[in-house]
Amino acid sequence: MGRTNRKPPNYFTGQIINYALLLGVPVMIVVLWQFIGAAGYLNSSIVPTPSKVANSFAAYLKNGLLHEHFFASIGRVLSGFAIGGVAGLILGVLLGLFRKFERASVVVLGSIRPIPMVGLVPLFILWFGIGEKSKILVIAIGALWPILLNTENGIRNTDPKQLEVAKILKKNQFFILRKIILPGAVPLLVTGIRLGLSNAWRGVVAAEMIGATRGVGYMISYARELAQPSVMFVGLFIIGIVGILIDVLLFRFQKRLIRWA
Amino acid sequence: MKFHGKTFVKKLIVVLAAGSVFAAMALACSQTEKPQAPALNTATKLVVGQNQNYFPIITAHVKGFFKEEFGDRFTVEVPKFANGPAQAEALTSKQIDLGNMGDMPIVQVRANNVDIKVISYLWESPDGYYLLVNKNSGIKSPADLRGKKVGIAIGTNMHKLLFKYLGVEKIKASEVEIVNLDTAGSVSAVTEGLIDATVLAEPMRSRLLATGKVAEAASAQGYDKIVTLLYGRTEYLQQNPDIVARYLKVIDRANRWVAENVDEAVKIVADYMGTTDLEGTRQYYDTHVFKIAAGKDLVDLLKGTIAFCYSQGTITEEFKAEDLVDSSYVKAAGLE
Repeated sequence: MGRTNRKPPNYFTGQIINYALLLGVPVMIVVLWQFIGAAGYLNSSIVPTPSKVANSFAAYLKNGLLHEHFFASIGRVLSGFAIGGVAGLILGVLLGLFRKFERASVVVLGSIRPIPMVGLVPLFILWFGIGEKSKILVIAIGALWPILLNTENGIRNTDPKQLEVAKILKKNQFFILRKIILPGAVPLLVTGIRLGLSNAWRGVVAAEMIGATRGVGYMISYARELAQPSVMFVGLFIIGIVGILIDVLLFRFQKRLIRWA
Repeated sequence: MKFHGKTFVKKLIVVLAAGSVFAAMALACSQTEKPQAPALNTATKLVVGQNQNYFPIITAHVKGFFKEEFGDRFTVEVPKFANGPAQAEALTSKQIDLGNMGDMPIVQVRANNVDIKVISYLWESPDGYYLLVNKNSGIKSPADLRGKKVGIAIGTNMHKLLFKYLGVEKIKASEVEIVNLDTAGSVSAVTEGLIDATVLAEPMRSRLLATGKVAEAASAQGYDKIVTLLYGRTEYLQQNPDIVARYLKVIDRANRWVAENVDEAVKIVADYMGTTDLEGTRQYYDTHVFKIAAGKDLVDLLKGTIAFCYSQGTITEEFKAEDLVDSSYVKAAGLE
């Protein structure tokens, strides 16, 4: 009698419990929040009930503003991520490969890195105006650092045995870079990309709070000025949900891509 | 499914802990505890929010009129805010007791279930607000705003005036790019051509015209009546009616003093605001009529604003202007 691939009986039960916890906790929080808010225990001017937030969401969806703001933000994030990603990749490779370049850059890059994206917004508006350039560059800076650092570390952590073998086999530098160093850096690089995209999405809110005309960050600041906390919450939920989706999708992509590692 | 065992217990603890944490956070956010009914007029402090150049408030504060009225044991604080929406945030968290802002932010705040009453005008400006445009924008009048980029402080009198311009010219708000900029941001942006237009009051108008890069495309006349209204938290008003009435008397006294001593008042206000621009401060005064009043016209004004905000979608439910206005304090002060 051969072995079968049937899963044990408690596997499905375990899965059900896992998904129940995954979704059940947020659902329970929302239900409790609605119950407490409807009973008058929350100041609705500060914390609107989930039903109010849902109504605002529906209204924005119906009048088309939600998708207008959402896709404006997505566009900026993708543009900023592309710029920050390429810059982070190039700089990370240079820093990883060339010690002298790393020595020369460490103080400058180390001083700039701790500056939060929010802190750069007024400066970039001063330098680049209130158009798209300043916003995309703020987002690019947010995406740059995780990609740069992870690329650099990925290259530095190349297996020394593999480098030794390549040296013994008298392979040229280009071969070593292409066949050993870069493939070895892929796991960390992909992690950097995942973190960079998350950062870019988070940065869009800061970038859009000043001088924007569209976008989820603009939607939140517009709602703030008009004392519309329910719309602010809609914006915040969108940011949170999209942030989770980005993370989950990229994590799965990362797992598939580096399965061989 | 097993309802016992270590794994199930662990999971149950996680679920209960998450629920408890949220419930504790929710209760911490709650601000709806009902206080026991206190005796009236026992407050020892009055915090009054104001924006820029509010002549009677600044004058009363600097000249000591509040102290003369209330004595040393009562404190009147007059924190300054950038604009109405900034004041609204302080109001929502009960950091101010009375305040002064435009009709639009007042309606927005009230629509957000913040319990306030409008008790008087502070000022009205028949002709002190303008549509200012960069000379290269191609805008000659509000009719040319379609497709243009306009910088304004969202939720303020300027925002409402812009909507009024658009409404008269049958232009939808979605056909204009509205950039949220404060006064300083709007001034530099329109001068440099980063935006095509903005809506501002004196003395900014005169300063911008003097640059030679900006032109005036329209005033508020025929479009909107620009006002700032005096409001209070209902809780504070009801608990301290005499204090509020006396405050109104002080403001009325300050209005009369300013009218009789304009030059000195201009110096006081400019100094308080940290500016040396006496001419600009004088221009602000000359384009604003300060008054204490709460008649039927105030109710009518707010009816119009409520309907307007509803039509623009900035509020989702209308409410009665009569419920928002309380003229009893002006009457109690003997000023009606």
